[in-house]
Amino acid sequence: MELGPILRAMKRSKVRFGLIVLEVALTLAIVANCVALIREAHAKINHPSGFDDANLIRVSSIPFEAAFKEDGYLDNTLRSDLELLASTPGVRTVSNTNFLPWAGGGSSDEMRAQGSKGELLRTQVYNADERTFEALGTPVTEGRGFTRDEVQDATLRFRALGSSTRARGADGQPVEKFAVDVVISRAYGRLAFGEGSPLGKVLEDSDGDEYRVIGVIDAFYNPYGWPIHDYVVFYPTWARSFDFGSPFLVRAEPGQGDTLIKAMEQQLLAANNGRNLRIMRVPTVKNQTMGAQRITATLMAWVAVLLVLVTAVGIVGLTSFSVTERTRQIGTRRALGARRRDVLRHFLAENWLLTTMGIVLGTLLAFGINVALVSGIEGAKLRWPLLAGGVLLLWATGLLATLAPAFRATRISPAIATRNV
Amino acid sequence: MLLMESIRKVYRTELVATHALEDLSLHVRAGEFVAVMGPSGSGKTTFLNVAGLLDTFDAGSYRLDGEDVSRLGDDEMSSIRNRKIGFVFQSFNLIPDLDVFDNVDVPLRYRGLPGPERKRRIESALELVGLLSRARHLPSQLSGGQQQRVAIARVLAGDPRLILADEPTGNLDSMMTREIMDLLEEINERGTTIVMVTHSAECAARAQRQIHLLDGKVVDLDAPPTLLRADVPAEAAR
Amino acid sequence: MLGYNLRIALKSLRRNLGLTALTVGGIALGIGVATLFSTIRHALAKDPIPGKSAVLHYVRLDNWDPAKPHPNPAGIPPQLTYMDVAALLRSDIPVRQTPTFKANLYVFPDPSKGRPQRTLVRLCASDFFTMFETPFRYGAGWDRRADAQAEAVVVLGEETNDLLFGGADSVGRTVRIADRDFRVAGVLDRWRPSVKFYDITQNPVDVPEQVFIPFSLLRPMQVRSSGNRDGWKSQAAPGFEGLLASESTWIQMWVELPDAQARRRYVDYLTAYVSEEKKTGRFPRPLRVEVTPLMAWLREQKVTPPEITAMMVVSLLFLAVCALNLMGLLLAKFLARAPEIGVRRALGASRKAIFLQHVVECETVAVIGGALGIGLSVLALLGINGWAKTMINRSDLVQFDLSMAFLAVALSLVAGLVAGLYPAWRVCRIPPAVHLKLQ
Repeated sequence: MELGPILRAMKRSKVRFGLIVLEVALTLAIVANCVALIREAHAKINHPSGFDDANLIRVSSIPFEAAFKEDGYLDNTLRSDLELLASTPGVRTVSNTNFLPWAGGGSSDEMRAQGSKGELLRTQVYNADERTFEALGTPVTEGRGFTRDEVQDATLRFRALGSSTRARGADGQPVEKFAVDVVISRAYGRLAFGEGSPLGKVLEDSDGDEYRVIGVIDAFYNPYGWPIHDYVVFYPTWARSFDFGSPFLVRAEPGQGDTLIKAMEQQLLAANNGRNLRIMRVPTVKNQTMGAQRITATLMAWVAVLLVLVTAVGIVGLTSFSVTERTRQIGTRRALGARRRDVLRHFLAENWLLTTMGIVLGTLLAFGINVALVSGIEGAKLRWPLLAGGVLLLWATGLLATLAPAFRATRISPAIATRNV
Repeated sequence: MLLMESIRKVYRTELVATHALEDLSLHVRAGEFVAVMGPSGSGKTTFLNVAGLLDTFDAGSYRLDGEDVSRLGDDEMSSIRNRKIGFVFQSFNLIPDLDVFDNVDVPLRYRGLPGPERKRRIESALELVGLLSRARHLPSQLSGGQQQRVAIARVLAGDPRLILADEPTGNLDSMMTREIMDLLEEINERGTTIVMVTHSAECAARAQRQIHLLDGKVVDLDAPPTLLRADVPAEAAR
Repeated sequence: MLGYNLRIALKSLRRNLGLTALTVGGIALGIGVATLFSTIRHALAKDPIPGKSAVLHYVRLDNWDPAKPHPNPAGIPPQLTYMDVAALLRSDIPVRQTPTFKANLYVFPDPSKGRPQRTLVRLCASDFFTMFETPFRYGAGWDRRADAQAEAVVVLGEETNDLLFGGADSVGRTVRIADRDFRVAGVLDRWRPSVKFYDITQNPVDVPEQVFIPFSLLRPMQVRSSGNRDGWKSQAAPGFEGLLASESTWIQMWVELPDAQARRRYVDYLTAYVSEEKKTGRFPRPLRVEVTPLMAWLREQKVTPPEITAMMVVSLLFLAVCALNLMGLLLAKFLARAPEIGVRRALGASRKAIFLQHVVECETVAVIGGALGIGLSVLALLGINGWAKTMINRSDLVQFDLSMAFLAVALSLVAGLVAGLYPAWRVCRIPPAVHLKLQ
């Protein structure tokens, strides 16, 4: 079947056929852009963190009793809390760290390779104890994690540092440097030191204090307000204060339900009632952080689906009308020897042509909308494979929507031709 | 060429069964020009539908060009219509969206002829009906007579063995009627069999033989013609 | 004539219920989707405090690292240091001003009523309540004298008042917060702006805090922020006083400047202040002060995410597709009626009359569709709000209001017109009686 006569015949009903073309074009343009946005959102939502997200629970102990204002009391409670949580049935590991996966933020600092004189590079920074990496479920793949003694030692040294004014030279830099061992993410190591193992290398901050890399974790991702999602430096200390409490990260055995949360809460409160507890599963944290994204993505998906449906209905409607209007013509064609499948093919070819014209126009439109609409959205660029998917979808939609009316056309009797109006 | 024996065709609705053709037998020899006449409701249109393989029938046998076409599938009927039969309709049945050239092209497309061959046939057919210069006009830009000539060109391009003409001049004035009848006669003289259904005694007179239908049967040619005459004015008023 | 046209239209719609359902349903879907997304965007993009937003200004100073600008897109810290806030408060150019930040503090209910509650508390000046037009149920905000003397007075949100006092008028009563007893000065009425416009440094769609205390208490109570704190230089001195003397930025500052002249004067004042500070070695970056009107500040911080605007545009295009669809269906429907129109024309209907008749029919379809669309979008909004509860922790972010209903009606009228004009024009060109001959 050649398309020439079909094309020439179309010129007779420009508006009606133009409507299908325009609808298909707009649909392709919108759906392609929606899907680009949805994929973008899903990429963020489904990005692997590198942690055992499903089994992680954040437990915060936030004191109100004045006794907690004493360092010794805080430390003792922290130690006994850790033991208590570790001994709770269903708990696999427990760690004291202020890092909370999927919180949508955290704390950050700037460092660079020691002596590089280069730009300071922002990274997330959190405290860790000897069990933090086991609790997160991200193994130290190179070097080692912290020991309990290191954590204790560094905690005391940090405390001493924070309790007095540091002596500074004429350049404003501290006279005495502070040094501590750290565990960093592979990505930050690469950023600061380039390729090669960062093990044993030293980072410095704006005060010139030294952070020697003793361990590297490969898997780390925590979305942050700035593009430092993959960068982290963990330093060994216990995190606890009267104002902000003591944060724990519990890694439960798989399949633990709310009974574990209840048990932990009861035990901790039974041990010390001068505080409140906030316990939250990491998936819940993630749900809240990513909530707006998820809602947006889901609504977009609905709009895209509805749009394709509306367009399909439109094509069915206009094709049905085409068939009704051309009943006599179809009868004549049948009388002149067209087989049923010729009639079917005629309508399919006609609609394929329209859909294709719409697709060509829609491709241009899609890029236009993409530039105008999502230029402000990081990464939501329209890509060819995605557009190709949209093209296939619309071809399929056009075909399916045409089938029913086209089949109706094949049932028109050739004897219609002999009927005189 | 066309041999029908005891053809019966019944239209059934939920309430009634109408016997459109009842025991119809007819023989048309190759090269003949036959006019089929009869009052309204006599089964002319049904006869034409059955003869042209536009419709099936319930009983009897039908041989067309030596081939038994009594029990054929839809595709085979389409193919025979396409290769052996040419239709000339009262209301021309040109496809309004297509120009003259493409209209004549329609049956050739279904036959799957190669492009140059189609072009040759279309041009010579249009030449024959004197409308080659109008090849790119739309039907709506032509007069009724010209439209019917395009329809005839469409038949000629297919080079059928049999032409079935259904009131070919029913929608035309007398001058155009003469033109079309001349054309049909010319085609017949070249050897194409023509079966023409008509009311017009004048047109029928130009055929070699007249067949009269009444109540779905061929009536004896010797029967008194009064029945027919009474009916003609009423129908002609259409 | 309009009544007659309307009657014909309704009759025509009743004739083919399937087709009518398709046309009305399609346009209802379009209006529903367009209204829904416009409403969502409106909740975020609308002026949260009309009449006041033009005079409220957000203050920023660039005290950042000489080596490179602040990592935010604007390149300037979004908040101020305590040192600078304390200094700026001395200016009398703004008619009202408030420094503000939030903190997590313990509120102690009567032990019989429950355990101590960790509660988000906003520290602010007395002007906060007048500047941001907070609705009061009982009492009022504290006065400037309380600011100056760091009095322990508190304004409670209605939820906290329910919890502490069972919803009674608690003005003058005492509540313990952190380390001291506070006298209740006022209780807020329900206050749930869609955007927490007075502090968008963190989640901009958060609900307001439930406890407000004087900013001047931060020093005696040693209150640390629970919001963002950005710094580039390590704290020289230890402890809380060290924090107050540091370059850490953690306090938001709002000023009310009634006119352009006041704004100019205030900018001059800030410029002079920073220039003076530069002499002491502070503010090492090129001098930059920003006094940003409320709406510009909300826009700059992308309170309306580009995704939401994108969704609204998409929804309007969706409506356009629905309108095209409607146009196609109406065209088909009208042309199928050509013989009838021929008769009408033959009987003396003018082109204009035929045109009008069909435009009325299109608009009828569109308006019925629009009404259904409003229903659809309200339903969808209920669903989304309920669902959002689990995600963003509030279910009252997006409210359907009258202006949105107007928008929906306007959209449906426009859609009806866009979809109907061509088909109506097309059928009014049908010549009279041509179809009569053939019948």
